[in-house]
Amino acid sequence: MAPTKELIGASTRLLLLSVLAREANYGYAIIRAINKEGEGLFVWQEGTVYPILHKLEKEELVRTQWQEADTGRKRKYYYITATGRGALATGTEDWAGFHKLITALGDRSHG
Amino acid sequence: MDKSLDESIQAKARELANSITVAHDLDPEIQEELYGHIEDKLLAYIDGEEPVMPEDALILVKEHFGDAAVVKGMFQDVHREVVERSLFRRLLVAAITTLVCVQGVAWLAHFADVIFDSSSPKPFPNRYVMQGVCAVAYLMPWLCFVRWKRRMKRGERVWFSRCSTGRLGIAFLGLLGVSRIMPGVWGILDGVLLDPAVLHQLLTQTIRSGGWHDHRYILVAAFLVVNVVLFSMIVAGGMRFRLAGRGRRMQGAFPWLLVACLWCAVAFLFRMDWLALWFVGAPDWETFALALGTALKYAPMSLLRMTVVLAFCSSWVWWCDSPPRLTRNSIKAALAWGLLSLMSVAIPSLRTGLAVGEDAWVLRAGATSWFKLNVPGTDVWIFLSRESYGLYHKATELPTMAVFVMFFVVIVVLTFGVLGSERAEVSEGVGGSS
Repeated sequence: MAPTKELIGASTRLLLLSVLAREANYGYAIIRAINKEGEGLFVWQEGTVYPILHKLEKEELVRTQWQEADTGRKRKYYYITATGRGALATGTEDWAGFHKLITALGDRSHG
Repeated sequence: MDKSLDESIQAKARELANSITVAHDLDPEIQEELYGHIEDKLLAYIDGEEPVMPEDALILVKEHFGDAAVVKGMFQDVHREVVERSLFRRLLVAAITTLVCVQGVAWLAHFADVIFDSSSPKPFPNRYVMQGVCAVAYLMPWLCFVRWKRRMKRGERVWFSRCSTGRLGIAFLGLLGVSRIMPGVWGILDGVLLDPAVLHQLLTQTIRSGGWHDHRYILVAAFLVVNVVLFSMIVAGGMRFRLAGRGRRMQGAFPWLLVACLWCAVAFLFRMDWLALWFVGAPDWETFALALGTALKYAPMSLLRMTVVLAFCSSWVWWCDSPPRLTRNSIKAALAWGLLSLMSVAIPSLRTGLAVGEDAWVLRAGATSWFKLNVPGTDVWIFLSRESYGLYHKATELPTMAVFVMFFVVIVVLTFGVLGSERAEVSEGVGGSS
């Protein structure tokens, strides 16, 4: 079953921070990395990722810099900040907690 | 890696990226970033494992990019302060331009009126000529907006780019003050005058003549409101039906023309009080025929007047945003237009006037005091009018104007909303699923 729009929306920030925690990158490459890892789990409207990246920048979870990409073109690179790493850790913990709760409740209801 | 897109595809990709207009200061960087994404995506499709034609690649990219209105709305949410500041500046520019154009034309008309007053015949006895002058005054700002938008699109700096918001604000307040102080054109173009004659007449009749206890006038008012609401629903429904693809799609300027004509028909409905009179029991055929005759006589005038006002309000909405337009921006622009219109009535003027010619003219104009300038060959008078002269009664004029203005705000916002094809709710979430 496909994840709902709400679930994708709620997880996007963490997905973006997770990718950036591994490596600084620009929008297209970040989206491609998530799509690759997701293995077709969901398809998103890629244009909507950029406002969320801007919001992360505004919240100082990431910082940006225009630089030359592998393709030789100028691209806006996003770097995760220390605050961003903290937010990622907290967010991942919260998700794990929810996942644990849902799994436990699901197991009980099934049997 | 040195791959590149051909020029036509590049232009289309730019067009898609440039459709995301957030705020003037932010647009270049955001659009460059989005263009980079679109370019990378296109190249990935064109040079991928299963290459597709550039045109097909563009379709796929657009599909994956998502609804431009949603993306734009999300960007505007993130950069709310900058967006609000940018919109405020645009509204100030619109207000300044409107005041300059309307006051400029009003002054020219006033001078012509004053100069020709001493001779006969006067050039402006014809109401249609004056409506034409009004139309020119109100449509001039639109021409300015078109010119400035084109220049901004080409990346050129326009005069207000060099002005701070504070300076624009001071200029606006100054112009508003001047419009209230300088000798005006009584009964012709008093500030940003929206002639509310029809509704004014109706409310005046309702409130003053018979009072609320007079059931006939209440029924007349109710009938007219029902007329307008029904008509609005039919037009809105028709447009939605067309845009939903169940009819032939309207192209180019035609839909705007059609909408303008349809909405203008509302003006005729306003004049349909003769029909209402019939329902509430017209006293006799003579009265009925007289009311019908009046309705027919003034219908073209009402149509012209309402077309001009519609276009006037639309010009502000058009100026303040670009497609895909967001309803919230259209509402703000239309309400600001309404506020300026109401301010021109609410802020009392000094009731000064200008006259050229003999003493009798000044007396006829109802002047209470005057100052005479010695100009060779004629007399020039700056006078202060009687309080009641050339003015509507504020008690009924303001509520009437408020109803009238709000009615047009709703019409314009609805029209832009429907024709702008805003498809999706703007939300924080990322749209789409597998």
